[in-house]
Amino acid sequence: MSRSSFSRRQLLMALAAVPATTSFVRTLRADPTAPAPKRLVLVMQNNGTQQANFWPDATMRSPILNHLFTDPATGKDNGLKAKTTVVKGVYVPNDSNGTNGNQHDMGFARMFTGAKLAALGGQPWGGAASVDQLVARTWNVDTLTLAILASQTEPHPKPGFDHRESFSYLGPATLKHPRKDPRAVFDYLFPPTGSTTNDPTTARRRASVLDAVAGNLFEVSARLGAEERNKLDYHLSAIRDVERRVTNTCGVPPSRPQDYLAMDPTAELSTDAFITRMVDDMIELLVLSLKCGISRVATLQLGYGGGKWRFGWQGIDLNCHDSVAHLDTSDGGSSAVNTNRVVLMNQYYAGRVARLATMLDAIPEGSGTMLDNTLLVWANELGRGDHNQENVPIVLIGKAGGALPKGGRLIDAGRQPFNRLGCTILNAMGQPAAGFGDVPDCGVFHGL
Amino acid sequence: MRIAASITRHAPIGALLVLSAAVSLDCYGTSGAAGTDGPSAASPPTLTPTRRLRRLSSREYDNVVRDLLGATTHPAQAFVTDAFANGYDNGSAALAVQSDQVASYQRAAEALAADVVARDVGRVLGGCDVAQRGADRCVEALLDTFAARAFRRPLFATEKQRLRDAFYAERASGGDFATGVRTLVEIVLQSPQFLYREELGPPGARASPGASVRLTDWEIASELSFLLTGSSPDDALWSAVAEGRFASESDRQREAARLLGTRGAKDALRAFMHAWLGTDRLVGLSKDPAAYPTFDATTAASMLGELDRTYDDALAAPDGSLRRLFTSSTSQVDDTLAGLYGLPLAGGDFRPAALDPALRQGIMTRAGFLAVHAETDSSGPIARGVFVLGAIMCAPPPPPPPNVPPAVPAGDPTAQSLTTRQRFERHVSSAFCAGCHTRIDGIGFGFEQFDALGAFRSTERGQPIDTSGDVAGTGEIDGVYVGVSQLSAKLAGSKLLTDCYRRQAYRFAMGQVEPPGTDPSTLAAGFSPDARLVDLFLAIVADPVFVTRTFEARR
Repeated sequence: MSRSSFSRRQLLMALAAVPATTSFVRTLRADPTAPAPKRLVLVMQNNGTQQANFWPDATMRSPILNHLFTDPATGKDNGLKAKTTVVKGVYVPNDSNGTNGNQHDMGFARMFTGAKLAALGGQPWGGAASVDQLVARTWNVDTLTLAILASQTEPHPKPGFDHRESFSYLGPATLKHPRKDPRAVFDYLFPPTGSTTNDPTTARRRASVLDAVAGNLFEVSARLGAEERNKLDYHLSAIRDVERRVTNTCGVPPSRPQDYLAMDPTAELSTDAFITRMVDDMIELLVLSLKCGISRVATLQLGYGGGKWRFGWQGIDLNCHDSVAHLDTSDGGSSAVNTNRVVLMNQYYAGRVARLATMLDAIPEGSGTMLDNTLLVWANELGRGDHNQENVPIVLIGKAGGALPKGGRLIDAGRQPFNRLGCTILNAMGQPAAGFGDVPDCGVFHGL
Repeated sequence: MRIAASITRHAPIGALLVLSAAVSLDCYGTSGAAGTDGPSAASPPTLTPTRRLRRLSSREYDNVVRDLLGATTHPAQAFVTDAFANGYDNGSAALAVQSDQVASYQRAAEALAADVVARDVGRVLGGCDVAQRGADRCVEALLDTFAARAFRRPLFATEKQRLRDAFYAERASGGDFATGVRTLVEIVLQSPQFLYREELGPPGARASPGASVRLTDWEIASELSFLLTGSSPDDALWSAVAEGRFASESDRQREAARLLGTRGAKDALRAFMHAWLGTDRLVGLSKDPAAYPTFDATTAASMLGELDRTYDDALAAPDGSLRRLFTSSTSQVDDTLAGLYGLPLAGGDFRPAALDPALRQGIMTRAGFLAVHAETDSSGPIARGVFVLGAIMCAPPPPPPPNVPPAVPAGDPTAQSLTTRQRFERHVSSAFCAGCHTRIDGIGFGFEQFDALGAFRSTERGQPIDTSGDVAGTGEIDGVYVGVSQLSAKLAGSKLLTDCYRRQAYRFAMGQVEPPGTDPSTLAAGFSPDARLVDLFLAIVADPVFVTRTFEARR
């Protein structure tokens, strides 16, 4: 593990000297001539795409991608095509590294960490920090990590699969836990008046409490060896994240999402009925967090690794992992009925990504839109549902603040490991890198 | 950070803590080279953990604030659900406190502080009356009583001063005494000394990596108390340490025996049993309503109720042994379970019941166990085989190789006429798969007489159920059997099960998986299938491993 906890601590000590009420965003926005900040958004779906119906033709059309590029209300082009690059040929190196990880784990634990899996407690975890965390660490911001994990067929957590809860990793085998309840996310982003910095007395007291807590963290940390000190570094970093988040630039918050848990205590666990509404809520909250300057790095996970949504809302209502995705055994599909189901599943995902991207594209920023300063990566844990990890469908949306100027393209420069894309993401976010994960010299993605 | 991993024939996959070391493991369990740097290079690996912090689990947090503040609100239920490295909720090897968790700690601390100050401020002031003795003395009393009990040791001078500074700063900003006290309670409840259990040895101890240090008596008391009661030391244990009556092994034994008789011990060890046997997952368990329309939360609660009683009985009875746990056919059932077990309905709550010993011998035949270890829509012989091999025999199968073809789902049209066993037999018929599945299926198929709810069945899809199995690769209890009762009987007196229980108890007691290359079955040499289950915990508490830590690499 290459992470230097010493320099991290120095950084945190320096941070600790900053008054707790200083908002990073406010500091950033203080100079109106400064360029708009870049943002990174990762969206992960599971169970692969339908290969014959995903890859676009010369006009960037395909049965699945049409749902990314079309406004569902008008049936017209939604403007995303010109800001979208579809990359073909991506594979995730399949190396379980002695763990019992399968392809779902390669997608969830290996893809965005770029590292071999790590065994802990008999489960396969990511072996390094994921790219969203690397970027957030450099930018000194907290990541907004969102997931909808409800599953009527097989609620998560299920024995032995805790690791499939998230694809975001703080470090080796250390998940960034996702937020699963839209209402709780809202309360985190927009704390109720009176309990927050909206009240100066509370804010001052909270700041002094956290400062004393930070002092205790430093004192305990001094007694520790390197590995245990890492834990307290994460902890201290998280305290600073909490201190920073209390200021947002939006002023009056929007209305709270519905309280799904009050409607059904199993809404986040074992009920499919609320999935589409929770997904849409999370998309809105993600956009709000970027718009209001609460975060610049966000991830959205649609189901857990190898998830089993039934897609009743798309007219399927089957265990779409075992009874649909697994049966998609060739790029052309195994049967017309099953192919249609896989396409319907993926059209849903495409529509949700379109919703997210068009919302970002509707926020003016500088001479363009927030999407122009964003890199939105739509990824898939598999290439094809039968655990095939060739031609993993990856879609890059947004101009990443000028780092990805040319949209409207399909890039197919042959077979390439995802690590190169990780390297491209780092560079696009302004972090020079020659490689990513356990391929430190893989270079950027060819053909972009 | 590098953790050298080596694999011995005793070490299951679950034993491997592979963070960056290069390890390969093929389908037949042979291993590649292991790293040799790090602490283990200096001395052979031992069962002794390194110096460390152990973050409170949600279960422990709720217990502690109940005991410390009289709070019964279970604030940790709102905390992030963690995943644990050792299979038990007290393993914190890879736990990081994230922004969510910081916010949760903050919310909980603010609510708990406001509550205790309003309800019973004397509780955090050691009974100090501010009207009589003044603010300064009462703050000192807080530091010496509440704060010390929260940190599970007297505070260092620097820690006291930091809290004093915060109190007087609050007063200087216009806060009244009560607000100052609230501030201190909030700081204490968010501090690492509260949130993490220290196992570090005396402050200022310096030694080279690999050398060992004895924990302080305060740390040992805390470790003992959390192991056996899931909470901080009680008044009696605290006094014993303060008065120097907790320095010897016999002191530890005396206090351990006393704590085992408390309500906290019942809860803590029951939690261990549930976690070991996977039955904690009954909470929130669901089944495919198309396949099992009768299953609901009430059914799961009944299953849980039976297991709670079974575990309590196994832990408390004079003959509460592994043999009893794995062979007893007496239980307690309510009507939901009576229906499931084919017993007469009697109304009312749980009552003693005699189950059919041919069918229901031991814990692996109980509905809750069988329902947890099953698929949502079918019996799940692979899941059952893998679980028994891993958790009960501590001999988990090697990981599946890449590109294992997915099994045909129960609902697949091509599988309509097949039993579950036939469906999986077809799936693993190739020689490539058979290498690993001989062991898994030899266990899992023996469970086929029980469906995904644990109900008995003699046929499936019009065909008779085949419950024959074959234990392979153990070197001790290999051979054919018919049905789970026979499998349980094989296991009950075996060294395999006894050693595995030792390993599991070690993982729970020490909050970690045993270091690579070590074998917890060397602990408690006299422990046998007929010994009391709790005797193993008493033996672990008495072992030097319990009170010793090694120094980690410092960088």
